[in-house]
Amino acid sequence: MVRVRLEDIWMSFGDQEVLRGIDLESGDGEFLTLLGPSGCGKTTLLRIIAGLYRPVRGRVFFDDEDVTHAPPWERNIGFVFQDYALWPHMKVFDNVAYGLRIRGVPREEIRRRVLEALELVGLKGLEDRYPHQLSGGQQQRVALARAIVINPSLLLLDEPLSNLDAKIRVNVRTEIRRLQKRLGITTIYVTHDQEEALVISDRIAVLNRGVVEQVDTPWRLYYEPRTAFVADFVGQVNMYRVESMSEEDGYMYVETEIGRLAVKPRALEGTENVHIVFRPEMVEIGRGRPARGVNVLEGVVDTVQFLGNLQRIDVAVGGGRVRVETHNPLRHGVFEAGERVYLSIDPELIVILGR
Amino acid sequence: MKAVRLGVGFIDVARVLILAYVLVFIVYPISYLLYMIVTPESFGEFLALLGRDIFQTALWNTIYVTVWTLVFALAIGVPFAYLLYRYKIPLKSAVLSAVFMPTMVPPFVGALALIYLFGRFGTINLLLLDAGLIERPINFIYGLHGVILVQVLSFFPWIAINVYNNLLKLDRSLEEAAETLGARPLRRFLTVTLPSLTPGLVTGVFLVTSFSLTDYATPIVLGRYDLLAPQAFINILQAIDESRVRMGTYIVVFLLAAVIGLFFATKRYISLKEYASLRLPTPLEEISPPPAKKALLTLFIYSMLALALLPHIYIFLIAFSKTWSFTPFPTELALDNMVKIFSTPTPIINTFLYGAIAVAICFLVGSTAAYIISRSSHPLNEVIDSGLSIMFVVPGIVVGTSYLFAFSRPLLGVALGSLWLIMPIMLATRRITYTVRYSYATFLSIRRNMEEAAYVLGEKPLKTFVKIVMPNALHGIVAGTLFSLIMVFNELTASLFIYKPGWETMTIQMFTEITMGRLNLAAAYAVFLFIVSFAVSLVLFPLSTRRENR
Repeated sequence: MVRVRLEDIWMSFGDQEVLRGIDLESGDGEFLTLLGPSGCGKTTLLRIIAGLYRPVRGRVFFDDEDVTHAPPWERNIGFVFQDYALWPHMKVFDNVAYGLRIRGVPREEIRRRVLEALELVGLKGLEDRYPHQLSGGQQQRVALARAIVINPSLLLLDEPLSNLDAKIRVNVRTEIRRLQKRLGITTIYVTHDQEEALVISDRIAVLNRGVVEQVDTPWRLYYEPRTAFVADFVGQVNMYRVESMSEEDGYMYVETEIGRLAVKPRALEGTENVHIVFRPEMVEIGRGRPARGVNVLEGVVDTVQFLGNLQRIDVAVGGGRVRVETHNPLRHGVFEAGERVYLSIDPELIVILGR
Repeated sequence: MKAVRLGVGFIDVARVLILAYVLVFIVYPISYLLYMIVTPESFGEFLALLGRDIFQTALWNTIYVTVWTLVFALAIGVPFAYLLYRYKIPLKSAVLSAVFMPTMVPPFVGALALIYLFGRFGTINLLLLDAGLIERPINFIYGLHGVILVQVLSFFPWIAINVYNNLLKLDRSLEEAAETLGARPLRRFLTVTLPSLTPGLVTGVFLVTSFSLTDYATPIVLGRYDLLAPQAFINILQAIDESRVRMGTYIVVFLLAAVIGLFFATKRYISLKEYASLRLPTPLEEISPPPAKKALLTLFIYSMLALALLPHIYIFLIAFSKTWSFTPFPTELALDNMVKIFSTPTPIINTFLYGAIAVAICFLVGSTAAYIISRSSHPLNEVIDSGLSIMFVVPGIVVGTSYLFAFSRPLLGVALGSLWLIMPIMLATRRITYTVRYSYATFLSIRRNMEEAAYVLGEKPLKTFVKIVMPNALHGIVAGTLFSLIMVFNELTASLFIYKPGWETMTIQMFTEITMGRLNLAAAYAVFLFIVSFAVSLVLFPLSTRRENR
């Protein structure tokens, strides 16, 4: 398998800059996800890796080989397209066999490998169907089989699940991950769905407006976001601008619109535009004032949403608003709008960001 | 988003070849024609011509005919399309197919039929004379009014088809929004529907105006030479002396300028990319009107259709009559005329031979050009695209004249104009727009990632084109090519300029027979041509309406 290394990739369409100096490296056999909102350049980057676009500037390496100028047909990659791109005039078998035929694989071996690949994706017995005779989920799996049957040194997937129903999506993504681990194939996966990215990836690269904001494991991305964008894009977040700060007793104290809070100290890249962030599920909520503790805030319930497995409460605090999520809603019972409540947040769980 | 350029590949090679074709067979002849009037001397002559009485008379006659043709074509075509779109009319699909027919047949065929119907001793006059209602035959058609009549019947379907196509694209909710705000039908039509029909209307107006301005065959058949197009024709082809030829050429250039000027004036509304790919529309939602209203609507639609088809029905009568003179209807039906045209089969053989070669050219050049335009970005694509599209706008008389002059002198050592091959080449070039537009639309409907999926599996562009794109695009390309073929079979106005004895096609032979007074033989050719065209369209229409169903 190969490691992919991108060096200072720039891309533009017309006068619109889509990628602005991307540096990124995948591990050998790693499942790396490119995550970002639509228009962030993630698909463009994937297509550059595939050779379908040539970057305006920068270089693409497979291991130590510079493939920037190699056409896609020389890269030995598997690519799964967002809408699968199955050829309607070919049966499932021929779709999957296509890459093997180009590689001059003997007839018997083609048959064996195609059937193996179809079995691997759970489509045994459907090889004589045409693509239009398959469901969306099945088509998706044919596309996957077509991509992996050639033993590619790199597997690229462009939002492969976005055209599937929510339930099937969960199944297929588990299968993709299982398959990838079994084959040990370096995989780069594009999605705008942060939950999908968290579940499936070894590491995630968050892209925003053509730059990489952060590359990290799902866990660190969630608990230690390095930019406000990452904090906001991955999961839900409460975020407040810091008006002033001071340090005492081993804590950093910050002044925000919801009040004065103690925060775990952390080296900041800069002091401009400093924010604090914490997740809704990190906030404790109660009807009585806690006896002691730091970071206790008093507020009034504004809106309540009941989602079944959790209760989401927006609380007006000072000049701002705090979102709280309590899992196991039965513990507190139903909160009512207008009710007075107390919130507390562990300073260790508040992340301070600045640049 | 166009794809990245993947090195010099088959697209680049093909682009150069297609570009060469466009330069040699489109840009060169038309430039040559224009070149003929730009020398100071010839330009002076050109200006002098504009002031001469003979030109002035022809100009005013032409304007008179064109304006009235347009008015009547609109008056019939717009309601025809709207009623057909809006209401439940019996056999709507059949009506839609039938209304296409007159657009495929050269208009002078209609003139031929109307001579039998309205001529001095045609059906109507004879019936009136027999009934004692008139003493002398009435001149229904010999004259400008006859030209107008024939052209209206031949051209109103162009308005109807374009407006109908436009209506199909109309978002019904726009009309419904007007209805919910209290607009009654007439007001809704005038304030919402009609304005949204501008593109279809303007396209129809452009086509009819351009066809009417440059139609020389109809006036000649009806004995009027004092219009611009017939003047150009007789001056160039009778070639009595060189100054007459030059004068004819100036008129052709004048007509070209008029059409191009009109094109640019209306360009904002016309998409060349769309209007050459007219497809047989499929009926949509419709209203079932109350019985009385429905009867009226149906009557209007069917009588207009009958008028449009009347010449064609008459052509059949003429072709299959043994003899027919001085009686209102043929007295005896026979196959004599048909037998006769098959006993001298050169025009028939030529038509099929040229058709076959032209189809091959259209297929190869047209589909490749469309692929290049749809799949790559390159400054030269624009030249190819415009060059091939403009052929839909350039009148036959211009194509004919420019080929006549440009290819009569040796080009790279070959005077193409003296080889019969120039016929199919000209025919293909003149009608290639249909193939290009159909193919282009088909390529657009094939998602790009079909090809990319092949690339990443290791396939190179040429093989991808052959193995992946072509199998999925073939039905659209073939439909476009067949459309081109029908139009090739029925081409007259350009062929008539460049043919030499022995190269006659059926349409040329028809024209010759008419000028020699053998109308029955002309009709026999027309019938045969119609049957062939109809057979081709039977294959074409299912292909052209085929949806991506897999």
